[in-house]
Amino acid sequence: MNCFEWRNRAGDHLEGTLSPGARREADAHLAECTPCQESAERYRRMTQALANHRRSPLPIPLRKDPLASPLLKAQWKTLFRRGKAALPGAAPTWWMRTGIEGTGVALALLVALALAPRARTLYERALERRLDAFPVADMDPTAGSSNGAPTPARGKAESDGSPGAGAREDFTGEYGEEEDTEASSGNSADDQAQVGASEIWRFNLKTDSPREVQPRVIQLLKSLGVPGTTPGLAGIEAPGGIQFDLLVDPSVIGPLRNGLRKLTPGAPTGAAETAPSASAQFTWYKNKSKTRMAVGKTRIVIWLSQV
Amino acid sequence: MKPVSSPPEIIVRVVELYGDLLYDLCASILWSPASAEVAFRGILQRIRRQHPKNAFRTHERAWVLQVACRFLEPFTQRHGRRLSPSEQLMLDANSNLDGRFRQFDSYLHRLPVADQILLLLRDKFGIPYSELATALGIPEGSLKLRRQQALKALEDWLWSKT
Repeated sequence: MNCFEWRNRAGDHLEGTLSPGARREADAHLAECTPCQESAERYRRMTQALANHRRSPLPIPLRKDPLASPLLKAQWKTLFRRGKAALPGAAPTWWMRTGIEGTGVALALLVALALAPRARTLYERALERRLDAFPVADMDPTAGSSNGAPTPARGKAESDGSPGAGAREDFTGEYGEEEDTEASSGNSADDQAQVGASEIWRFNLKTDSPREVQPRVIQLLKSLGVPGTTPGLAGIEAPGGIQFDLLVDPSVIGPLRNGLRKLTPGAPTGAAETAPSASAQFTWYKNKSKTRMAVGKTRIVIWLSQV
Repeated sequence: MKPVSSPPEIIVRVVELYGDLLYDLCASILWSPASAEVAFRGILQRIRRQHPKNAFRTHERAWVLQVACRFLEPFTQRHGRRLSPSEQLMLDANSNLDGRFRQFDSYLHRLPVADQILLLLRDKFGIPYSELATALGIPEGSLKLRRQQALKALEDWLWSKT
């Protein structure tokens, strides 16, 4: 036996499980080979260390009650972890799962469909409340600043477009406040304010001297029955012209249009039809507006622009 | 007639017959009484769950050891104590052979868990190779070879640079 063979059988040799013939050969080799003797000594020492390894006896509490509470907890934990089938309803079959999920989705859709009109109603009410809560202030266009007057450029641009062709009024605060002031002036019909059904009549009149035309327009309005205390009757000085912005009775519109046409420079006095040059100087159109307006009133805007 | 042994009964018998062996194996592998207790309870739980009720078990100890080994290997991966790098350096820095043998546990824990179990069961508890082959699921010849290799590794660590 050589060193390689002995190393292969060292375990059996040191444990004494070799056959007698092999054991004699191994002993003979160990007697001759010093490295293998050292190695055998090392193995013996290691196996001795392993055999003398410190012992840890089973603790008495653990021996007396191996099924203590920690074990029970471990059992339950194990049951929940691995045995889903042991828990009724914990692992439903695929058709139950699909049925439950499908029913849930269908119910959610039905609830959404049922609540949609209600949600729309709530939204509209919230919108109305927000409009009702609009700040009311004493905003007389005659006493207002230049904020109350739209710019001439805008009026000109609107006059170029076709009446009501997508044009929408988007007025800010002062008009709404003015209307609220009008509504609070004691007219019971004004309490039923409408939203989105208002109309604005715009009259654009180009002239060389708006200041000269202004008193004639005031006189015309007064002659048509507009009270002298109507806010905006005096007109507002604005860059590029003078503007009248007031609420009048709808019956005033027709006579006012004819009267303003007669005021147009170049128009023949008393003529029913305007000359081409005069029609270019005077334009009018009607706009729909989303702004709230008192029932029975129509808003008119007369713009005397400086040519 | 005595009824068939129920799971608590098998646990009581395992604790009575192999309790010291199992707990000592757990404590030697895990280096911690608390972890050893947890592992011991886990092994009992697995034995309780896997024990066939109507079977008469001839090689009960081998089966118990098989359950314990299968439980301990992954358990040690999660809860076993590992030597820190500084402890590894301290081990290698010790040039005294007796000092190294005083830290024999540390060198033993450098081995893979399966090799630790093999050495402890064979050399500490004297379990025969036949039962070890059943417990570890390895042929006897392979067991002997692995034990040889493990001892060689220990020899290299213990006698290097001394």
